[in-house]
Amino acid sequence: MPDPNASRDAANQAADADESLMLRYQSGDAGAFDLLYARHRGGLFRFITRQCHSPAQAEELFQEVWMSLIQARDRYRVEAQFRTWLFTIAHNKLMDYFRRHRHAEVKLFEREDGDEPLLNLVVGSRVDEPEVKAMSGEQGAAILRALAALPAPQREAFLLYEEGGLTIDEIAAAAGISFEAAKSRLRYALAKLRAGLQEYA
Amino acid sequence: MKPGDDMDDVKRAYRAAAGDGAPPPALDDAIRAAARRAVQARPQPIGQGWIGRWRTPLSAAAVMVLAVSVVFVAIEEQPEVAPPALRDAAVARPAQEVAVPSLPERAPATEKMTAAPRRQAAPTPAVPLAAPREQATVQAPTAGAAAGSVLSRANPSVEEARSRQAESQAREKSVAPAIATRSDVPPMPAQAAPAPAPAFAPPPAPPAPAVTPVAPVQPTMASRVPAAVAAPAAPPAPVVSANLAEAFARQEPRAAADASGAMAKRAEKAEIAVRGAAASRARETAIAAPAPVAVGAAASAAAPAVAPSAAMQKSLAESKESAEAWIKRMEQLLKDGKLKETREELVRFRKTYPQAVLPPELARLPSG
Repeated sequence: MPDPNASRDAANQAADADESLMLRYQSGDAGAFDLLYARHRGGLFRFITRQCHSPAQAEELFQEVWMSLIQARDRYRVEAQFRTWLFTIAHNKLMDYFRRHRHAEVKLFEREDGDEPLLNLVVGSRVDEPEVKAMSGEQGAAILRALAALPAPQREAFLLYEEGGLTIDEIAAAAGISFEAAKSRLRYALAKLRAGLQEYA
Repeated sequence: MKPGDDMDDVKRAYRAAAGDGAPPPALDDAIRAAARRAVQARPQPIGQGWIGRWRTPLSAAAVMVLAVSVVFVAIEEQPEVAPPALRDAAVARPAQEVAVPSLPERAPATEKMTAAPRRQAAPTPAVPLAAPREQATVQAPTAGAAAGSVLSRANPSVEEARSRQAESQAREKSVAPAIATRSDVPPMPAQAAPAPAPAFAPPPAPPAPAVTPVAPVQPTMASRVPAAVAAPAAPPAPVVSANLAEAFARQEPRAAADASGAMAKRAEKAEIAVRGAAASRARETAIAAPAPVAVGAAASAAAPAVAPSAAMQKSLAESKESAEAWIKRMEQLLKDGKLKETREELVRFRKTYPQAVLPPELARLPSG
């Protein structure tokens, strides 16, 4: 016999799903937006902060993402998970940011694996950047340093996986790449992070 | 798909290092306030989403239904408007029923006419004129042409009448006996014909006296023209004026000497009035219904441009004509020695009545 409490929890979960909350907000329920914001503010903020090295720029981008969501609420359709939609908006904002400030990052996003050319790895790795050096010392700082040293597309794939909780399919959808590219980027990112951990452990 | 478990240490290390990074509270408040403002600024009723979603498809469907309905209505109404040829035939048929029986009687009087003018004259309204106006009837195609020119040009009919005056004076000696019988036409000096020249000062004179001599023309025209097209009675009046000019031009010198000045003035005024009324009627008709005017004017003028219409009416009249009358007419043509015309009539007769039995003289006539 099925447990009535379990079914009730499932019903509540469905009612409180991101998509339902977004539909409620679309209908004018401001409280639903508060719930959604509370769920995703931390992950989205870290996702942006880890890629945009300036905190002020990160906060500005964070606000732009949520404002875009508010303005686009009428066009929202339940065709995918809400978090995929949210991180797609964030990805687009970051790409605009990269186009304005770092053109090299944009070119990396155009590569299938999102990896840097071998010459750049040897000559111009970010391991030597001051902010990366400042984080080194302990394991946590080492992984953060390794993360900062990742090429932007691989870093984004890892952050989408870790902070957004997206699957590889959803990463591919959010970043606008193929499944194989998303899988490749994530695999490269994890491998490099592991290598960084072992190196600075 | 998930990465392998060998990467769990990386995730744990990242989780430990990332901590609880969060935006500043001020930023949270600003975003929440913006979200509330957006909702309060434009509260959305529940049904609006449905309406907004179906507005475009419903509009497109409504437009398509409307367009299809209009097309169907147009198709249904089309047969009532479409075949003008049948309408012309329906209009012409009664006129032919009246005009055709007079053909055998008229034939001897119009011996000198060629076949072609007589065929053109058949559908014209001047055909069923009375016997005393035979001469005017003979000139009907010419007068009709003059009437047609009156419709398009105001003065040329007068000038044409003038030029025809000299021509008719030379001709009148040969037809003098016939004209001498015209007692109803008021005698007029030959110089009186050019009098209608001041056509641009139409005094409000009653046109009755001038119209009286050729009054039978109008009923004939009225019978030809459908009720809806009855307004363009403009063509008959120019016919009348042209006939008058023609008649005046044909007066003998003796009659011209008897004409009084008052009579000349009266006739002049009457003709001017008739012409002015005809011109105004023609203008009104041209504005109101151009197509019927064209049909009426063309039919009355028997212009070459409307030859198909006249031919069609002729053929319709012939199809109505009985076989016996047709045979009699062909016999008459044969007696008159018009072999070519007889052959043409015979060919048409055989097409119309292939089973009819022909008299021996017609049957022997070679068709080629």
